[in-house]
Amino acid sequence: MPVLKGAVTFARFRAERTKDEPKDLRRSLANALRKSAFEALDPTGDEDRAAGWVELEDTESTELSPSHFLFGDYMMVSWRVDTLRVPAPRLKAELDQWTRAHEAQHGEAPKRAAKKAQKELILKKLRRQAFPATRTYDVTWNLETDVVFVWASGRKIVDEVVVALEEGFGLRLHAQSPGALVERAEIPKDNIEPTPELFGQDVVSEARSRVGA
Amino acid sequence: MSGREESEFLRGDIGVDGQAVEEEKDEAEVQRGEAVEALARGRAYLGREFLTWLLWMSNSGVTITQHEGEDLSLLVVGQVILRGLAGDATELAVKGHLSAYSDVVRSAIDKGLLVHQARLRIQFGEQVYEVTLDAEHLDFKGAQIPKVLSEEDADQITERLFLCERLAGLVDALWGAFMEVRASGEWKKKAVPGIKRWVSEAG
Repeated sequence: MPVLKGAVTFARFRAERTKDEPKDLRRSLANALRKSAFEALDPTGDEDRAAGWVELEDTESTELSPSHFLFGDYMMVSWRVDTLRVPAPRLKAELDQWTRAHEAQHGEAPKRAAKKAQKELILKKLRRQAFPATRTYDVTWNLETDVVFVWASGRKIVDEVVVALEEGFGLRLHAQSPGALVERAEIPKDNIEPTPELFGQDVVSEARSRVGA
Repeated sequence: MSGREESEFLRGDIGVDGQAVEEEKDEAEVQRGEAVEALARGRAYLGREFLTWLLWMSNSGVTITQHEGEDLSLLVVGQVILRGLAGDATELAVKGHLSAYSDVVRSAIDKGLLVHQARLRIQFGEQVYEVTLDAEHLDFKGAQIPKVLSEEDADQITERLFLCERLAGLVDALWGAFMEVRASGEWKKKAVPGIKRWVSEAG
């Protein structure tokens, strides 16, 4: 829980509300969180991944009542991701064992269809035995200033959380990257072309054609 | 020609004689294309110019800007990663406490590899913050903030967040100072010649 302690690593955004502010903000936030609350993986099912909101201080809880996600001016929650992976070497070892037993019994290698069906059975068995790997990524939203921090470093997970926030809360999240900052500042493009003296003229010409400058 | 062969021909995978078309991609050209793409993506080049400008400005120990009435200065510490195109080189990572100011780094900048990732030690009044920034997203990595003074758990959380937001404000102030120069005639007249002079003096 990096918000509470440990390494301070985050991507930051400015939230823009695309809908009118609700009369009861607390209830509105709770509803949005519960709509996409985390649901545990079903070991008998086919899904390998589950993701959703959980409480910051108790990542097993999806109660998500305002007293558990509102801290002063901040909304603080975690995005939990569980993944179920059956180790490939284990799957291969069991399938090989079954293949050898089949050959010993029938005097020939199993047909492709039979092998495929057996692989599915072994996979289902191993899934029931596997423990999902859990990771959580904290999210803080200053409801006064609309500054949002996604406490993660991987771009893929940051993008996933951004989508969850935008869709769940009716927001548009504006990145604070150089490109996004200059777009919002509406600086004339002529003033911000790559500097040939630093990058090299030929590199700049190629880069210009890519940004459409 | 069968339906499959027609599809392959239309894709360019085979010629009219039905034989495979082999394109030899020059690896150097592929890497060059990727390096230019990375430069342009999200205007990362501006992020690299920003971090390189900060490195140059910090070399003379000057106050870079002011924020909330306090002076803001910095040092670039720890590892620095440079990217761009310098002949066949597209990336250089240099480690060491103040290695960012070394001849190796200055020489690389002179050849077209600019700062893509750097760790900044920011002095803001009496407070010191550290953060690693990347040029493409300006994400905050492994930041160190001043010690939290509150005793109650709930207060500690909000104080910690307040300090993180202050750090974000400091980076915004540095970016603002850079853009004020970058978007004006000062960039080409003073900053770029200053940077070029500094890096060309590398031994």
